[in-house]
Amino acid sequence: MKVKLSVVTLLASAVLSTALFSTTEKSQDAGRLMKPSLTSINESNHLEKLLSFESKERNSLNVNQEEKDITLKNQITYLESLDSNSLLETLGEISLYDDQNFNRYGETIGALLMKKWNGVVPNEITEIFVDKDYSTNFRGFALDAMVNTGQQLVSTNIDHIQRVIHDKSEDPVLRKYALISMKASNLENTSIDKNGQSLNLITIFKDEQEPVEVRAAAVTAMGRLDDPNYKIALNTLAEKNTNQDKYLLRTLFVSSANNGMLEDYMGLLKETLSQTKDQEIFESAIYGLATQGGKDAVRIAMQYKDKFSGTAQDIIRYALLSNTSHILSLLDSEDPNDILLAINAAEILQFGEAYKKISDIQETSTNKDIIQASTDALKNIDPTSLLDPNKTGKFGR
Amino acid sequence: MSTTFSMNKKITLIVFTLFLLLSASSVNAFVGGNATYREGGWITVGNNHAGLYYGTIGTTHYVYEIQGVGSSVERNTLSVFIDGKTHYGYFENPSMSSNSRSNILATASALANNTEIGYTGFNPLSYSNTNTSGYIHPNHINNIRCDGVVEYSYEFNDVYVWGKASPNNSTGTPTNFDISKASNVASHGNLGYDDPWFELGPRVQRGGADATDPWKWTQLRVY
Repeated sequence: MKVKLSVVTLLASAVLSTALFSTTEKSQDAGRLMKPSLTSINESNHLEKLLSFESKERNSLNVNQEEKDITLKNQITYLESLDSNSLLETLGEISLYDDQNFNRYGETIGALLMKKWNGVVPNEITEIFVDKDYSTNFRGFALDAMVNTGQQLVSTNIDHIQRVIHDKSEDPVLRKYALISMKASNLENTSIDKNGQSLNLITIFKDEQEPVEVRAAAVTAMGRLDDPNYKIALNTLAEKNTNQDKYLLRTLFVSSANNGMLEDYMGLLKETLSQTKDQEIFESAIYGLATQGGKDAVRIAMQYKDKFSGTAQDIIRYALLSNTSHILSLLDSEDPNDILLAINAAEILQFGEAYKKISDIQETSTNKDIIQASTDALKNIDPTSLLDPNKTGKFGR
Repeated sequence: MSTTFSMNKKITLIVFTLFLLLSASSVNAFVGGNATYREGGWITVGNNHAGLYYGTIGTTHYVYEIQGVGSSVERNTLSVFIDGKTHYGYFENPSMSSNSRSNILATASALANNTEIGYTGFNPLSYSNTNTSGYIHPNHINNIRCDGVVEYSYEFNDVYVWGKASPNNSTGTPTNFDISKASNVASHGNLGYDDPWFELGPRVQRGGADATDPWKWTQLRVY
């Protein structure tokens, strides 16, 4: 009898342990990533469960916050009970229900997925990215998970990305997203040569039948991968028949500046600043100038600070903010025009660190305009209002 | 007669006070550099959406935001930003000066003009480089999330929003705020709302964390 009871007890324990282990295992992870089937997505089981927690007045702006907090808690608890494949299935269902706001759900469920995956995204995730049966947003989510969580890509990921970026029948939004997601830091374990030339991005850029945003994104990718054809692409962007396109012209100024190569296109940039009536082109050029940096960046920003009736003031300010060391240098210039514009720039920025220099200039200058400008500036600049009070060097190059 | 006169005075005072309050709330909220938030989607569990209020062009209000896959940081109209969802209003760090607001907007403008920045839902931002002092400039950023637009624009200009607590539990004190300092990026990388000493997101930024004292974990306050 005692033996029989022991066996029963053992068996019961085993069954119970198995049940608990299965439950625990299911809520942790289901093992290999399985793409959600369209059939299961269309059944919307998880979506219906989430919606069952909503107030009857969901979609109304009148649901009170306490109800929403309870709903949120219930929905999170439910999602946390799912394994990773079920979470992906949930996202697939949501992409059919509220695709416009999909990225908000991707953010919430993405965080839960990372926990299920213990911080390591399964390489198979790009099987979702490459599958045209899913929505662009869901596919983009899958790529985001693979390329923006610090992981190394493997050859199948590269194959999937190549397939999408070179497929002209693909959604240009997805192709663009894939292109600007390319970075050298993801490719260490792949056969892609160090400068990404084998991705053949130049063919995408050179094809004038391609959407401009895809061509521009190819330029971004070439810059980030140190593609040897990058300079060719930039030079092409600078040519007269290419630079008439607004999107591509902006890409020239932004991408070349981000990669420290704007200097070669300064002539075109200055011409553009003078002639353009398009504020977006103008602001991209100022951004490029700010990023490239230097005394000229300060001079030119101050020259054009009132263009567009001052509505471009934010990017002008950024140009000054990111070149404060050059403003200080210009205060030491022999050229009175430089000194004047530097005083004005310091006043615009409320550049407390420049106060002492301006004060010295006021005392020693014999130039009436400089004396007046420095007097005015000293009234407006608070010497204790420092841009970098902790001397971190954060605004320097 | 005196009773009627006294009643009239009271009514006038009430009406005048209401007028002042309404005027104040309708004017003061729209200040450039404020953070602003709205509900994420039609299902509650969607992450809130964050933006940085720009100001007006003419009579139209604008917000800096990044919406999702395929987007860059853009200056969109307030109505595009809100998109019919519940709007949680405007928030600031009370220590912000007029100058710091201007610098915050300048930084957001740089993010918007760097058209190479893409979206990510997995971190407030990712970057490829820093300056020589270890700080991330707008041209170093590869990808950013909506709350990252607020977090970075503020903290690059030393106006703090969120920092991981030390010790890292509900008794801790927020620290290491500046996400523009490369060494602080990883600690900003956990999205959530119920462990706000450890998790960042739009709900936490706006004081909506599921915690005993949600305001402990954000430096923002209702404007």
